[in-house]
Amino acid sequence: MKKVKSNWIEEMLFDEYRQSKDVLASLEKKIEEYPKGKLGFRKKINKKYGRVYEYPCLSYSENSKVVNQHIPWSKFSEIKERIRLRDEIINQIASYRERIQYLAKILKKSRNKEDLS
Amino acid sequence: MFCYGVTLGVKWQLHTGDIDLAVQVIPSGKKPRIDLEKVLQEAGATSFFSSSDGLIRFSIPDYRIEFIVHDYKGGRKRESEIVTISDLNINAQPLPFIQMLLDFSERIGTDDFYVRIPIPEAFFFHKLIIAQRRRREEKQTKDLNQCRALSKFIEDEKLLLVTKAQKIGKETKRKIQSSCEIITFPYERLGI
Repeated sequence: MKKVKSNWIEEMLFDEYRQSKDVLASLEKKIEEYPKGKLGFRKKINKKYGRVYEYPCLSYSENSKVVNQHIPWSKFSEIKERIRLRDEIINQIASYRERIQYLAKILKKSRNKEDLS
Repeated sequence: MFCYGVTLGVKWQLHTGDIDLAVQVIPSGKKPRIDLEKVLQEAGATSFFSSSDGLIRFSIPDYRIEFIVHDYKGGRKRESEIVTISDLNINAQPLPFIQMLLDFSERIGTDDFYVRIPIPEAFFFHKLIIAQRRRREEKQTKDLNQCRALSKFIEDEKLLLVTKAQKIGKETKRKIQSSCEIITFPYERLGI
């Protein structure tokens, strides 16, 4: 059923809804460029020499398995920074999702389902 | 409009998540003067490329920053023709009459930071012009409602300074007059 023609405020909200969806899609695409998982440290004991070797690693799950990827010390700062940026994007994604949900709730009364898909 | 709510007490509750930053293009050497993309990223913004219009935007929680630039071709340039500003390592959307917003601006801010915003008279006059150029009716209504809300705060002296500095063609004058009629603002006050 076609709904009643909207006013300019509703159009403005709908514009905001569409733009937020575009940004969300771009951010979701962008996050794929960043490393996944958590940065941590692992210890390995060298039994022969009795020494403990500590190294940074990236832990994430893949195909229901936990993967601990060794990170060379030379790349540690770079990866740490990229994870910080990734977390910022995650926060932004959450914020946009919340906004989209909020706008969809308002627009539901006047818009067709297809517009809000 | 948000800024005028703070500085003048203009009653305008609605605002979108868009922050448009107007850029003054100054011809210079090849080396980037300021890498704005990097500056914004360091401040916590995330840059992303919008494939729909080719513009690089920056996202901060709840807001999107994009750059606009004066369209020297007087609006004949198609909207898709994005301008690359290598000096600042950004790109910008060319829009007509942006220069007047840059020429007539004022500084507002706190102890920590400041921004330059167009004086209300320039913003008002700019909206009067662009409202009639809008393709979508609801955008035009929004522009004119903003003009209506601002009109009570317009100082004639400053308004004349803005309008007299512009080269306005017959067709644009007609459009401005039409905008004035809709918001019941005396066209004579513009002095054009």
